[in-house]
Amino acid sequence: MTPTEASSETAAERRARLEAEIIGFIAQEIQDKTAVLTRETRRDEVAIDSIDIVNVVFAVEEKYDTQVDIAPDSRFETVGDLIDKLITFIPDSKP
Amino acid sequence: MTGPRSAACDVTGRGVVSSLGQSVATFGRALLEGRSAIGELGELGAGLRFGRGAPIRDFVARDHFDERTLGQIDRFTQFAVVAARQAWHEAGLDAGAIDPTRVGVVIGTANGGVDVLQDGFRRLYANGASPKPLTIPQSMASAPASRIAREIGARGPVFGVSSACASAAHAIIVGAGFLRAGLVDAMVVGGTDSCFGEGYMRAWDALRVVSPDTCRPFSVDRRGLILGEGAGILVLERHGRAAARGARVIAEHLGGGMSCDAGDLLAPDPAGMVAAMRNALADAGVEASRVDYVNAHGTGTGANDRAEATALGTVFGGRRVPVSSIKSMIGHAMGAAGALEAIATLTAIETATIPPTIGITAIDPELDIDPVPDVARPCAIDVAMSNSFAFGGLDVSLIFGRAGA
Repeated sequence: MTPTEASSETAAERRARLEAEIIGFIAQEIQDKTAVLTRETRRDEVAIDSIDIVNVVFAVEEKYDTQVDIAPDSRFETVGDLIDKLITFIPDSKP
Repeated sequence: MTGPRSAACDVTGRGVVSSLGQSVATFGRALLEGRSAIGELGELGAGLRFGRGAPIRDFVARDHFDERTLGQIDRFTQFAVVAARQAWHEAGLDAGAIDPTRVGVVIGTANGGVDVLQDGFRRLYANGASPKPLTIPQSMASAPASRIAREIGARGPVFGVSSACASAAHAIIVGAGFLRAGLVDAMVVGGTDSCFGEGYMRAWDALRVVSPDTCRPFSVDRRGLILGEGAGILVLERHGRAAARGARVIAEHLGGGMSCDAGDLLAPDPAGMVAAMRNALADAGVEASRVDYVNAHGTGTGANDRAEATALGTVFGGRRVPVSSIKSMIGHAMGAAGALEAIATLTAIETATIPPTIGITAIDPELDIDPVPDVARPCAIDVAMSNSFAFGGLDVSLIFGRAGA
């Protein structure tokens, strides 16, 4: 993505893009590769375990050059809950 | 037979990942053929004083694990799990055959997850990046035991042990002790190590005990040890349990002995070795005169082989019991050595053939020893000893007996 494209992105578009990227990270980690993840997908439906969380947190840190303080035993109900938690650690200054 | 029955436990499973094959059958055959896995390291040895070693060149992790699992276990754990699957299968203790709360796993490692640590340090120091998030659970010395327990569903005592080159032998003794104490009905025991990461090899290079050519135990021109790697795993069962369920007993573990030199870090003390061997014989209830074969620690360093030959002379009272070192063929597999050597000892008992010590130019005249040079030797074996003597003066001797002898 070029800086021009990034700057032309609205806040809502950025949010949607981040959510899609994070869903991609989660999909990459979980065991069931056929699962279709949405914000409403419940954690136990797709068996997101502590290792998945550690790896997703790491992927987000690398991708957005940030520090994410979410523990492996962090509690959440849905994929959307996890995404919302993760996004709070991505500064607005990051693309 | 040889000793108090209560002391013995039965070996019912074996597993091997080695530079001479990834099954007990191929490993045993290669040893009896006197084949060497020691070869040029090529690129792997660039910049080192030594250019030869015995890495496992044909281990393809993806043949054994899916991508997700591979992301969770370092190479030393991969070796151990593959060997444990073989051992568990041979023992025939599948689901339902045993109460999982009565099964334990104790696995030795000298190094832990040095490969994943090296990757992490490289990321950190070379790239300023963070180590990967699973570096800790992958590198912990208990990782192999933990993963094996998960695969076989063992819910009893599960942990790792570490005593450098004696790690696997200590694991076997601990497992046998738990069986004898009645804490468990079966134990998966052994050791594992991965030894060909660049940093790890450079650390050995810096210690200057690695031979620049090959491993020649008991030879007058021996120049040091050769690095090896792999995993060896045994399944031990409470004595009599296997017979009761109609399973084959491969051999009996009659007993074991431990000692510590409490002295020099690197120079072994024959007195410590003597104590371990005598403790083992006493534990097994076996006279020294009944031992038909000794699988030596036999590293090929000047100091070890001299001390071990002296100790053997003391224990066996001048009787030249046949002694061989498979490190001449697979190098020093570190935390796996004691288990691979125990399995080689079982092969010797089972086939009534002693694996040779290869690479001997001329037997060191200072050593009063019969090292079974060059070729395997037919020999009926009722009782055999396997020695492991580690840096730090940590000594273990194990005694195995022919099943039903």
